[in-house]
Amino acid sequence: MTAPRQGKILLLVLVVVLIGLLWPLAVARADEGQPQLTISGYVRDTHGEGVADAELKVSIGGQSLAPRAENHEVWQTDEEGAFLIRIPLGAEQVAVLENPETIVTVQAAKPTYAATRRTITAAEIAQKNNGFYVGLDFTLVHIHNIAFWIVTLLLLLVYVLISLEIVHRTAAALLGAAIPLLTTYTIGTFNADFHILSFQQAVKHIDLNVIFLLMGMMILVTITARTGVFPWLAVQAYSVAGGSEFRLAILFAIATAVLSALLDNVTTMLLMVPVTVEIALILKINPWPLLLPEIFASNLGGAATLIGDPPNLLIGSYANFTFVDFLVHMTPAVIVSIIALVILMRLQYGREYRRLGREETAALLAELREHHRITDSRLLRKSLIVFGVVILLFLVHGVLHMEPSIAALSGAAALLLWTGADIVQELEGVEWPSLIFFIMLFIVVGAAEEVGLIQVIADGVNSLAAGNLIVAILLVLWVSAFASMIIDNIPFTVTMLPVVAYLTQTVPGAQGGILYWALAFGACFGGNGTLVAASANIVTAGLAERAGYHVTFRQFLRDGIPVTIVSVAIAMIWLLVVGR
Amino acid sequence: MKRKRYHHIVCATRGGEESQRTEEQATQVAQESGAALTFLYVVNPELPEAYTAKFCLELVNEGLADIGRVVLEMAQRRAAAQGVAANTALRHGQVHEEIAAYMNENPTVDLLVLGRLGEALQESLRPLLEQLRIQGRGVLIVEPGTPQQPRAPGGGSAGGGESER
Repeated sequence: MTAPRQGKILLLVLVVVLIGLLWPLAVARADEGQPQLTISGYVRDTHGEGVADAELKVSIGGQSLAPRAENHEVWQTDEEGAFLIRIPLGAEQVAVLENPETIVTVQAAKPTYAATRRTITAAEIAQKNNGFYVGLDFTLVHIHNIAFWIVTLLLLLVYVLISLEIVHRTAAALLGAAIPLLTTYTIGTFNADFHILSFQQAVKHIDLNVIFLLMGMMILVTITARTGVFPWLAVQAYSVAGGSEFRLAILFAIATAVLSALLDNVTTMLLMVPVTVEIALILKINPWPLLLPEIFASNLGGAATLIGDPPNLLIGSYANFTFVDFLVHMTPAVIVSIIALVILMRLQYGREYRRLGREETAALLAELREHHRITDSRLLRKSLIVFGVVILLFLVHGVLHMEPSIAALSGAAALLLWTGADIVQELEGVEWPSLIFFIMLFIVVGAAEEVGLIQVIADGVNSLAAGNLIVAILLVLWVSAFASMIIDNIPFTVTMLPVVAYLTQTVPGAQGGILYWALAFGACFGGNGTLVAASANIVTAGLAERAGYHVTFRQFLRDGIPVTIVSVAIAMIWLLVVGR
Repeated sequence: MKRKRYHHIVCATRGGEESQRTEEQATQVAQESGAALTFLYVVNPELPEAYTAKFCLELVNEGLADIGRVVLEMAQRRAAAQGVAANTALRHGQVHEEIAAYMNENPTVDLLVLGRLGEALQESLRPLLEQLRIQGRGVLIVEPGTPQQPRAPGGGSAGGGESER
C-alpha cells in the first residue's frame, strides 16, 4: 500500500472517530436550546426494591406523549428502578404547561404489578430557564394473577421433583425455567395476566459470578487431583496418628474439614473415602466410625469459607460478602463445632477406637505409602503455586473490588496454560449439569420474584419475626437447618436470599448482614442431619456400601441429629453473642 | 452324604462382615476339595448420587478399585491363614454382567460362591444361575447368620443357611 493511500485511510478513520465523539455533543446542544420537560424518580415495589423495566407513560393536559422514536420505543426504569424522562416541548406544549391548572399524568406499569398513576398539576412543576422539572416516585403493588399461581405451583413442583429425586435435579430446574418463559412468550403475548418474566429479565437473574467461580474451581481441582496429593495427605495423617484410631479419626476429620473449606464437599469425600475404607479394611474395623466424622467435618468445614459450600457461594455473591468476611463471621464457629464433633464422636464411638501395636502401624503405613504416592510432583508444584495465588486473590478480592470468580477463572486459565493440559479433557472435569442446574434455578427463583411470590414469603417470615432481630436470627437459622435436612440446600438458599435481603432491610439491627450468616450456618450445618441431606453423605454411603459396609437412614440419623443440633446451637450462640 | 469335589471355585466378594462369611465358606469348600480358589471383586462406579463429570467418575473408579484391591488382599490373607492359596480377580462394570463374563471366560470354574443377593441382583443374575444349572456347574449362596453347610449341585440335603441353584 502506498503512503498517500495510507494517509487517506488514516484521515478517514480520524473523521469517523471525530464524528462519533462529537455527535452526542451536537445532539445535546441541539436539545439545550429547546424547552423540555424532565420527569425523574424511582419505581419501587412494596419492599422498597427498585422495579426494573417498568414502563412509564406521560400525558399533558390529556394529550399522551411518546418517546422520540430514535431514542427508545418506551420510557423504562433502569436496573435500580430509576427513570429519567426528557420530553422536548413545542411552543404549544410550553403554553399548556405554563397554565398552572394543567393536569400532568404519569403512569408506571409492569406485568405482574398493578399499574399506578400519579396526577399532578402544572403548578407543582418547577420551571427554570427553558426547562420544566418534576420528581415523582411510584410504589407498585404485585397482583396475584394467574402468573403468580403458575409460578407458585411450579416452584412447589420443582422442589418436589428435586427432593424426591423423581427426575435429575437439573432436568427439574430446566423445566422450572422453561415453563415461565414459554408461558410469557405464548399466552402471555396475548394476555398480560400470563406474563411472568421476559427473556432479558431471566438472564438478569442469573448470577454469573457463582457460575464462573464454580467452573474455575472445578478446573483447578481436576488438574490438582491428578497429582495424587489428596490421598497422600490422608496417608500422612495416618502416619501422624501414630497407631491411635481415635487420633486417626480426628486427623481425618480435620483434613476433611480443611479440604472441604477449599474444595466442594463431594469431591473431598470422593478423595477421602477410598483411602479411609482401605485403612479400615486393613485394620479389620468397621469404617463408619472413621467415615462419619469425615462426613460431618466435610459439611461443617464447607461452611467456613466463601468457596466451601454452594450456599456460601450463593450468599457471598448475592450479599457482596468477601472471602475474608466468611473467615471472620463463619470460621470461628466452624472450628468450635469441629471440636464439639470430636467430643461427640469420642462419646459415641469411644469403645470402638483402639490403639494399634507399633508393628501393625508400621506395616499398614508401608502398605499405604506404596499405594498412595504423589504421582506427578512437577504438576503438584505448579498446582500449589497457582492455588496459593488464587487463595491470595480470594483474600484481597474485596480490597480490589474484584469478583471472586475472576480469581478462580484466572487460576484455571493459568494452570491450564502452564501445565499444557488438554483443555477438552480438563473441561470434562467440570460438572456441567450442576452449572446448568444453578443457571436454571436462578431463572426459576427469578420468576418467583417477578410475580411477587418471594415477597409473599418474605412478608410471612417478616410478620413471624415481628421486627425482632433475635427471633429473626433463630427463625432463619433453625428453619434453614431443618429444611436443609430434607430438601436440597441449593434451591432452598436461592429462594431464601431475597427473603433474607428483605428481612435485612426491615428488621432493626439486621443491616450488618447477620441474617445472611444465619442462613449460611443453617443451610450448611443442616447437611449433617440426615443421610440424604447432602450429596457428600450419599456419595460416602455409596462408596462404603461397595466395600460391604452399609449404613441405614436411621443409623445415620442417630449420629447426625446430635451433631446438627449441637453445631447449629454453637452457631446460634456465636450469632447472638459475638456476631451481632 | 458324599460331597462333590470341585476343581475351581470362584467366590464373588465385596468386603464387609457378611462377605467374610461367604469367603470363609468358599475357603472351606476349596480346602475340602483341594480346589483352586479365586476371589472376584467387581468395581461398579454407579453411585446413587447423580454426577457426570468424567473427573468424578475417574475418582470413583480409582477409589473403588483401591478398595477392591484391599478387599481381595484381605480375603487372600484369610484364605492363606486357612492354608488355601487363593487367586484374585478385579473387574470393572455391572456386577451381574462381570460375574457372568468371568464364568464364561473360565469354563473350568465348577462352583460359584455368592453372598446374600439383593432382590435386584437376584433378578439380574437369574439367567446366569439358570445357565450354570444347565451346564451342571454349582452355585452356592451363603445366607448370613446361619450355620455354614456347603452343598454341591445335585447333592443331598439342604444345609441351614445356604441355598443351591
